[in-house]
Amino acid sequence: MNPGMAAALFQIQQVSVTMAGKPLCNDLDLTLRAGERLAILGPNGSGKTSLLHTLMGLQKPRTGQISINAQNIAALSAATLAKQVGLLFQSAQDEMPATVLETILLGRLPHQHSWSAMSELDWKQVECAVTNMELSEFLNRDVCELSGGERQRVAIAALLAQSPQVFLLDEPSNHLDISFQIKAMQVLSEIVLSEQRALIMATHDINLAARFCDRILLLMGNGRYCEGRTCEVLTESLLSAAFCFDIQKISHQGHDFFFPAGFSSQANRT
Amino acid sequence: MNGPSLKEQTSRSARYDVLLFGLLITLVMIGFILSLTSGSVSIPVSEVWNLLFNADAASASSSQARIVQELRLPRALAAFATGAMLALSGVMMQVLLRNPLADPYILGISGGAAVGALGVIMLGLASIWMPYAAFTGALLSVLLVFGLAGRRQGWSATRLLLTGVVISAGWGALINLMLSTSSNQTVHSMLFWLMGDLSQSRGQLWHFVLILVVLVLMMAQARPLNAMARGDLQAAALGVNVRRLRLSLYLCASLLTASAVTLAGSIGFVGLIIPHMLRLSGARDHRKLLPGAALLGGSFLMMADSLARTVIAPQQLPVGVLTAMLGVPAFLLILYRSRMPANASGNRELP
Repeated sequence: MNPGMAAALFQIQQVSVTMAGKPLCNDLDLTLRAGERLAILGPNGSGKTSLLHTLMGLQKPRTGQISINAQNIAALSAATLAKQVGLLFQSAQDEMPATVLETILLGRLPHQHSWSAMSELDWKQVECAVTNMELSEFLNRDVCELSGGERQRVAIAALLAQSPQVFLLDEPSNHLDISFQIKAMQVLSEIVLSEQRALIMATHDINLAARFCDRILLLMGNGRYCEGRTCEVLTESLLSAAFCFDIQKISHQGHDFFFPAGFSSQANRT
Repeated sequence: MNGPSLKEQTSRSARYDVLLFGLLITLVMIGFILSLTSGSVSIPVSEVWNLLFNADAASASSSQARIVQELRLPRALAAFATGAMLALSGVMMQVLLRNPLADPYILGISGGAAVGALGVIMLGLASIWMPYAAFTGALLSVLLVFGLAGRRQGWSATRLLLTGVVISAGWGALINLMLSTSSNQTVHSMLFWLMGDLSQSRGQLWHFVLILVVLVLMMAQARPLNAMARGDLQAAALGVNVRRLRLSLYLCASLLTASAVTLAGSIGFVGLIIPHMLRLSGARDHRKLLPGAALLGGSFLMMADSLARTVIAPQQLPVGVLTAMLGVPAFLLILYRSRMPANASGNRELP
């Protein structure tokens, strides 16, 4: 390995994921180094969420292995894994009542023993997460009565409180307004870069991925995939092929932006 | 951060918790005093103490002493134990099934116990075999649901719930069959059993040992339980061994319910309402909810039982009737006054 490069933090070797017999990705090889951010893009049902769940150890890959800090995650207990890897779910389930603060405190669960009280570090992480997601006014509200975007901020705050080495995010911008989409990614990016952690996010927002991620994993929807640096993968031709839709690029102030074209179709004129 | 830190804010809510538990312990004491003093023979509070603890006094052989020591104290203990077991089991079932409507009986345990109990009443063997038959029936139901809900599915909430509800319906049919084919005299004692009745119940040491053991086991898992209330996947992602926790939840809650049903028949309402009363009063964290439910459930049932003995004295009502009569207004009052939204499902009010 090139000594100038950061150490491999998260390694995916020959991993295949299937759902109901359908291959989602075949023989995926991917190494994430400290400080790297990867976006997973792909059409509906292409396996973004399944892959994230597999990386979190919630489902077993059909073949291959995943390791963090050179340890196979299949050999780690769920509790040990949760100290190092954290997952933001696509949506939260709130059948039972709980306040915002209680929900964020749960992020510290992997770091606590059954009978221990909250440590100074626990409080520091929680306060930091609350400040970053601007939730100090909400702490005693019930999570059931929050708006979708506010609930998403609570979930992100809980993940920040968990403070894992590898952040796995399933559509982090879900329900968030534009400013919080950017703020949340800025906070996460800053932690990943300054503390040499790593981030993998599944998203439908190509421009968010282009702005915040160093690398892209593009799932084609048939088991094949494309992986590489952001500028290599985010091209009109590759994206159009993956989504089966004409996707075009415009440049503004040195940044590339992608948008769905096809303005001349019948539906637009009616 | 501006203003008081999170830690300070939380220590303020800790003072509220002290207040809450002070109130709960007071309720337990009031419950005990009520159960020992009320009944067809009235015994003043001042004398109860003497009768209980000064056994060598001249009064030891009096009828009053015998009433308190041999009838009312064991019954008060039975009421406390039953209430505590049902409320604890209710808390656990609600997390296990992640359903606020779950109660200790939802998985058919009371149905199994009832079939056992009614069976021996029908055969005229109730006096000796009742507890054994009820407990056997309850365990049979537990194993049936456990086996059918499937190892491979990891006893998922939906599968457990569906299996339990269907088994429950099956027991219900058997119960109706027994009721409709029995003589009038037996039907009366069957109905008392079905409504829940403490008049034959004697609290024993092992009931309290069971409560304590389950409480300690579950308190050690209180934080993982909080996580599981947010969903199994979320809990698993936070490092909880969900499979093992679900299994121990199911077994512990079933054992509590089976013991409670054996002790006093299927007393309704306690297991459903007590956990919600506490949640609405701010004890949503399982570290407070579990011990709180044991205390509130126990004291609530002691009070209900005291009333059941006095409302139409010297005749006694089945306590199950009173739990609903007391529980409904008390619950509605708390629901009405609480600031927390009651729609735990997240449904918003229509405009």
